[in-house]
Amino acid sequence: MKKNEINCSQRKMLWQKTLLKMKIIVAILFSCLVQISASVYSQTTKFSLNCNEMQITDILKEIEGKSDFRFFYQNEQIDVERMVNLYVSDQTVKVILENIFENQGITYKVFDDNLILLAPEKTLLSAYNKNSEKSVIVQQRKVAGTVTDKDGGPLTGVNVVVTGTTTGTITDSNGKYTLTIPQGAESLTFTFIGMETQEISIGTLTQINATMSVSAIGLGEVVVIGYGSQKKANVIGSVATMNVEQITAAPVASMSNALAGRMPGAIIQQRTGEPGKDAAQLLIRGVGTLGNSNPLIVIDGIPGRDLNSINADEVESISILKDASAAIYGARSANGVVLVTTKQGKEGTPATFNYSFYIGQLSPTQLPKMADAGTYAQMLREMQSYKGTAESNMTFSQEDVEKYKSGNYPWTHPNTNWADVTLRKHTQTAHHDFSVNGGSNSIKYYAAFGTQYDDGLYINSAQSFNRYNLRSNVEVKVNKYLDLGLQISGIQENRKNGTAGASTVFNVMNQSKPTDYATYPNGLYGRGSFGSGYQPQLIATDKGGFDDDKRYIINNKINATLKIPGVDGLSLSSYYAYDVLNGKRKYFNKPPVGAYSFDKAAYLAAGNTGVEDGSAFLIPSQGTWSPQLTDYYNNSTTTTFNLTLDYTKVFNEVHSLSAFVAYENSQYNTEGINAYREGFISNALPYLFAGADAGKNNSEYVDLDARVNFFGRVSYNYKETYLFQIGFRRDGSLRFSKDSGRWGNFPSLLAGWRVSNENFWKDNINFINYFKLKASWAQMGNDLVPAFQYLAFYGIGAGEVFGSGKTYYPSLYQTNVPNPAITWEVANNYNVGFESQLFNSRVVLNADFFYQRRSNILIRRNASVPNFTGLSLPDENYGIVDNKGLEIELGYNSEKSGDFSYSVNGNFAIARNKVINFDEPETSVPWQRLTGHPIGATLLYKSNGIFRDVEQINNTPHVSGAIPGDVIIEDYDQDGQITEKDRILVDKTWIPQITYGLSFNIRYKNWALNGLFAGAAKSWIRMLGSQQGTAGDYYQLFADGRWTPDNIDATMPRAYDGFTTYWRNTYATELEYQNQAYIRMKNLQLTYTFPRILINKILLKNAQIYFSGDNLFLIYASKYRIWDPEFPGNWDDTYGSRDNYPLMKTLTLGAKISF
Amino acid sequence: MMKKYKIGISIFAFLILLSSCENSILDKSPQDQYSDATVWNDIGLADFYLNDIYHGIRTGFDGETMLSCITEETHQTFTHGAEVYVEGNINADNVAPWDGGGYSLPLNWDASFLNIQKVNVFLSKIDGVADAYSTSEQAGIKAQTDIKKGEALFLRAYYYTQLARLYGGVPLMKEPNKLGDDFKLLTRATFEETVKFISDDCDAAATLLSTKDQMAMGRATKGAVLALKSRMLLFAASDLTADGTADNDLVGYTAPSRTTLWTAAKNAAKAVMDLGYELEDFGAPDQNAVATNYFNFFKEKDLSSNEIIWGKMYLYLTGDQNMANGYNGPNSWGAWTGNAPTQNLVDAYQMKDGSDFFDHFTLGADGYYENISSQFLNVNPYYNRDPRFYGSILYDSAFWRNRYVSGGLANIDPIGRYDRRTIYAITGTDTIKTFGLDTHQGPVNSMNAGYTGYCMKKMLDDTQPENQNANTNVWIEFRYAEVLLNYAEACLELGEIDEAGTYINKIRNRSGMPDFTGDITKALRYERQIELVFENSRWYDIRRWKILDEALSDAKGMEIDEFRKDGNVVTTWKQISVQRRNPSTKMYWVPISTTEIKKSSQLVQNPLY
Repeated sequence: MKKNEINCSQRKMLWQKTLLKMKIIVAILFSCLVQISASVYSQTTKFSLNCNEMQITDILKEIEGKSDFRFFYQNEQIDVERMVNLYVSDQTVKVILENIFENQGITYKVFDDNLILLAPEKTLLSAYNKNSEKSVIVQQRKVAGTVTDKDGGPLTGVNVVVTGTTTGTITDSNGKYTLTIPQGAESLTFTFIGMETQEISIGTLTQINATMSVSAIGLGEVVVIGYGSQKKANVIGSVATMNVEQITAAPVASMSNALAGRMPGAIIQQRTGEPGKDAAQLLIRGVGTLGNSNPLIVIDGIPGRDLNSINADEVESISILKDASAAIYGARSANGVVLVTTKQGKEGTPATFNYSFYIGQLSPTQLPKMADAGTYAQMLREMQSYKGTAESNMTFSQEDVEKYKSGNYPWTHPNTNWADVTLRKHTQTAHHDFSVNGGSNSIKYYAAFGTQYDDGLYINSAQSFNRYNLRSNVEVKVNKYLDLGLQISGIQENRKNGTAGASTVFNVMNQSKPTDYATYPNGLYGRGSFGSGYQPQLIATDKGGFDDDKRYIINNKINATLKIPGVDGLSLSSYYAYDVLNGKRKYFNKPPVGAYSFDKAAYLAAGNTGVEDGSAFLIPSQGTWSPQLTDYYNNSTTTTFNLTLDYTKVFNEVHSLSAFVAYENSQYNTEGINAYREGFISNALPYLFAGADAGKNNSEYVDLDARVNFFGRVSYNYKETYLFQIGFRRDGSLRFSKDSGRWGNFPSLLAGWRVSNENFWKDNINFINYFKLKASWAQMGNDLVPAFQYLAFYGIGAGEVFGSGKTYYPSLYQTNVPNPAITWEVANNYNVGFESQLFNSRVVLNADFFYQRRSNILIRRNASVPNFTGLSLPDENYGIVDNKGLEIELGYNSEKSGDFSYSVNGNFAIARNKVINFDEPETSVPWQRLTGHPIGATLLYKSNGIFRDVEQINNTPHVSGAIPGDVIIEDYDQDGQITEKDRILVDKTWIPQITYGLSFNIRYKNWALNGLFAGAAKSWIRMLGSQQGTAGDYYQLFADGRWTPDNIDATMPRAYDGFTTYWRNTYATELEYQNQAYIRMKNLQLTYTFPRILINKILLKNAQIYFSGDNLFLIYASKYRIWDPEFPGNWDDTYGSRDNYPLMKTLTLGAKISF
Repeated sequence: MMKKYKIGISIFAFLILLSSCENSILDKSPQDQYSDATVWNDIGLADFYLNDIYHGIRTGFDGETMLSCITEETHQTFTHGAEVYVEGNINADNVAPWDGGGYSLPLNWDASFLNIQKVNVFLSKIDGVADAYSTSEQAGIKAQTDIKKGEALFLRAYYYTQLARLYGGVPLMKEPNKLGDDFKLLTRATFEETVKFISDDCDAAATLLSTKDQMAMGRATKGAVLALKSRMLLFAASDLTADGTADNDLVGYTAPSRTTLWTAAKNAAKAVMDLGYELEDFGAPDQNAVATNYFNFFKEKDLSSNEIIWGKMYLYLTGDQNMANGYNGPNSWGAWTGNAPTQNLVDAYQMKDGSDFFDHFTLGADGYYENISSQFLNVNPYYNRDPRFYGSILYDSAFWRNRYVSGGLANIDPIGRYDRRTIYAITGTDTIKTFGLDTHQGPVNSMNAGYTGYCMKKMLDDTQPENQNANTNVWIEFRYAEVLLNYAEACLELGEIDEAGTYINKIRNRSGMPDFTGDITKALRYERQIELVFENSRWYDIRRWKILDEALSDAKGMEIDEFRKDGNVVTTWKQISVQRRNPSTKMYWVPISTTEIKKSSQLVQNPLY
């Protein structure tokens, strides 16, 4: 209590001081207003109020209740939900308002009918200040009128200004206005938030009435377009955007996943669900090059920052530049650009604290189904019998098969489901974010602290991901010329794991045989199929050591903007960013202990049958090597410097010009060391000094990159109707030779026409209230190749042991043949499209068509330079690829009024590329030439079913050695033999040609239901799983319906061994391809927002809870599949498998509060 | 106000200072690599470049597949592409096991040419190195670069020998290829030209190189280059390329003079013999000593033995890793039995008195081995054999080494034997079946058990520490015994029977075997097969001699069952089939892959592909 009192008295003193100040200011500012409209009522009516932490809106309501005053204001302009304390006795409404809106830049006007209009100072001042000055002008006349909405209702507070001047007024409560207009005035402009601005010529009229119509939605929104931002209405590039609500609609640990399904033209695919590594791969408009197709990521203006380490809560907006609009990023723009902007404080808003959190439960969407012990043993026998293996060399006898099937011999014939014993059913995620934002007139700030936690899916998990994000964005207005800004973002990521990576764990999990022990009937660990070093249950824990990978990222940016005095609209701005990434990883590897071998020989010799307890025959496995430790330390720094001269001015209210020229450079350096020791006598000290001296090892690596860029852009529009944008960029990169190829020029040209502003449109097709045509062209670049390929250089490689004392000498090898002519890839990019809104913006329909021709593609000519030349080829500018496609967005928004509203938004994109010119071997048969096919098209044999019997084989062209149950390969060229020429280029690529999403948003009172359906089509992956057969278990998919001597009319081939059968290696057919087409319920979220009345009592501004589900279920997918159709996996050459950490279904419960 | 404006200006000046000028930003060199100029102006760095070309040489220890597994020496337990060849399915579309994949046999088309290009880059640069030094130093540097040139020429000859023996005549290049060259102009040379090219390189190298005692151990020597020449010329003079029936001049001589070719081969071998190498003493005539010492010889940790002409040394954890034990050791010791010796090879070993195994054993109707000897009465077919059998092959019940871990397996097998037997313990009507530790149904790592019933022993190291997964014994590429056999064969073909016989017996006697009896050609071929087993020699031999049909008959294995009943123990040895093999004439040469032919249509494909 005491504490409160002290606070109160302090506040009172402050109040008194400010009150005095306010009175003076108000006296000066409003002397002119008062003379026009001050009524006696407002001077005489007095109030006594005692409001403790009340919302302004409630105070106003109270005044309305006690008097004839009515208040009018627009929610967008005035924060009436703000809490204030007010203690007044016997004061006028004037004093009360002054108290409430102290320092808020809000003023008011009292009309004759006791209507009080509240508005930002700027609006009212521009309307009245100049007007009063002009009152000295002699020759003037008056114009009056009424402003109504479409249905004839009067509109209060509409700005009525003489076009091209600051002379104007505001409509009263009846929508009426009177304005004294200066001589020479031609027209009046009527503006009102949320309405279309109207211009009506005056002529000789004295009565001008206006009818305002609702403006198109979102057009006033500001869109970040790269080195600047534009009103959405003026954007003429193809730019997909996401706002705060969309970004945080689905709880994701890696930002890239938040984009899935919501950005037309962006293909977002998650390749693994592993904690801390679950970032999605991003492709913009598919793939347009044979080389690297990664888009450029720009965060707060700095290219190359990491999208996935950022906390989604910190992000204000995301824009994806898909066409010529990206060209301002020059040599890095051809694959598209993703712009991320973090949150900023707002001028003149009190501090708002936000806290949000969610906790969630994750489970795999789909795990490969593996054969059980009986099936596996049976299949292995079948396979070995086809090979002609002698009974003695068969892995399982017929008796074994029966015993596995019976399940009655747990000690000799177990039936292990490795996924069940390795993985949990569920794992957890948790996220917390705390932020504060606000601002005064001279300072704006946003600060946030967030944590992310993801647990691993393994039982006894050694795996976890923790991330801590800290950010501070501060903008200071030093004076009227100078703004300074400072952004600091610190990120720490901790990835903990066992020594085996997820691909290893999942590979051995699916490859381990069901006939091996995971856990013996007495509960002890078995050694598994590949020894305890690869026992999935063991290696998923820290029993074999740990891999502790920490990353510290610090992104710093300072910026300054200087308005050049004397030249209106001219400013100089600059920023300098210094980003640091430090990595620190400790990899401690020791022989996993805790596994037991079963001495089956002795167990059986003792007269046991498999039923009796065998605990006495278990032998603990012991490590045969000493623990090893590798420490990794690395440090990377990126500096970016930018200097921009910017000129923005509106001429005569109709010519809007914005132009800049800029210089930018960036430099990147990285270095790292690693050190190794073995022979640790204990696990207790996992530090280098505790290891043995013998066998220690260490190394260092370094790398660098640098760019210099000059660029500029001119944007011009006439009345926001005719829009033009011209850009030019000149980039230099150290990747290419100074003599040729270092510098590249990247021009762009964009034009737009907002046809709906034209009278002919308004008069004839006014049901389309907004329509904009746009077209663009640009030449863009892609330079994503290793640097210095223009020079002959020598790297340090593996060497030899020489000398009688056996000394190791490393070697030098020429890294590649130099290509002095190497330079950028060039993309000529064309885009035409339209944006439209129909039926009072209820319906939104946008479409873009694009065509890109990529030439000078950077690839290695491996396909045409013969190998006997012994050349290690560099990248060369070779080849042409066309990429074209269509993106459509269609949305419907219901009326916002009332308890119920909803919106639906769909997007659909198709992108198909075609190789036009390519490094083809010279003698390919026509049906194998890649030219004319999409990138990644695969040469495949066509399968024609399964050989029934020997007779069929003899009557059919076949691969030599084919036996019944093998896949029939079609003799495509009909030469009677199966040769390489029978392969056909099949347009089956893993990149979906079609992607689509449908989001909906339903609100009823305080409830909201948001959902997203997402899907893809025209995408395939090769299913070739792991080594199946002798080396590992079969996928159930290949066990079902397989050919056996008893099932000769089978649809699936016989039991096989690893990759040894012809149709599993050289003669791959489309039989092995999984169709990746799917539609799924990607996200569904139910939100409840607590009523104001309820939460205001506990001093909250806003409170929400929500329940959300991600990757909930598949609506459609091919049945012939092993993995989740969205999951292309990573082809792992080491294990010959796609098995990896699966995608996750996530159920989360979350809340957001602000106060 | 102006004051604050000045603050603004100075902030900008500061920001601009933070960036540096454009030229210094872009004019940089890679930090992790040496430039052309650095390398070729420094004799030390130039030498390191040469190390990379040495590094290109692959041995039998580099991968899980050895050349043995495409002969009757071994069966690749995990197939790894070897089956494509031995089952007769190799074609230009599928050149496994030379396709360069993970388990590819060493030094195929691509890998050999890659190294030849490296040699040619080296040769084009090495003469300039001395120029970077002061006049007074130049003579000394020149002397060093001459030796390095000799090493480079040896290496080029080595890689070309590899190609010539796989593909026949190939494109011959003395200059480095450059981007933008017209590669259409490069065609396959004839086999004769290719052999001459190799022989010339060898001669040139021999004049530049020093003898083994003067070169750092492991680097090319005069002896190595002459041994290489001997190997190449022996191959060239043999039936495959020189009997006048070659399909075209790419794979043989069209009008060969056998005498000239064999004389050249003989002289090449003789040139090595004149350098003073000697056969290692294995302790003959004590056959037990020979069995041990023959095995120990291949466990040598360096190349100092006077029988070793040239080879490759290995360290643990540094440089290339010798995985001989891991790839080929017994499964019950945690190894993979990759190259498992076949019954075909085991049956080839003579008895210890020099008589044929099948003089004493016969195969019964069901494949059971039956002793028919009047001399060697033990029913166990592994008794009384050529001592080199015991030094080369792990057979059922043979001692390998003590078990790694006390307790555990050591309780079952206190001795440390290779255990391929299935024991049937019969009491009344009950039979308890126990599979041996190294069988396919056994209790330990059974998936890594071989199918044949045998495991490699030669070149494995039974003294390797348990916690070490890589060997440190040397790979012997050239040894004196091979040169003597080369010499003997050339003499034999030239009709110098006595001279040939002398050297064949020299090899036999060294191993405690009596002088050969019977056909001398058969005796010579026996010595090459047995003495040089697993040394990457057999596949070339069976092709040169054109005996693929015989040598690549189906791979066999042995099934060993032991029946225990009422105190009696009966053991049976039964031959089983392990791999169907299907030799055909095309398999005398390896095809150039379709991919390569597509890139260079001027290349003529090998016959029958």
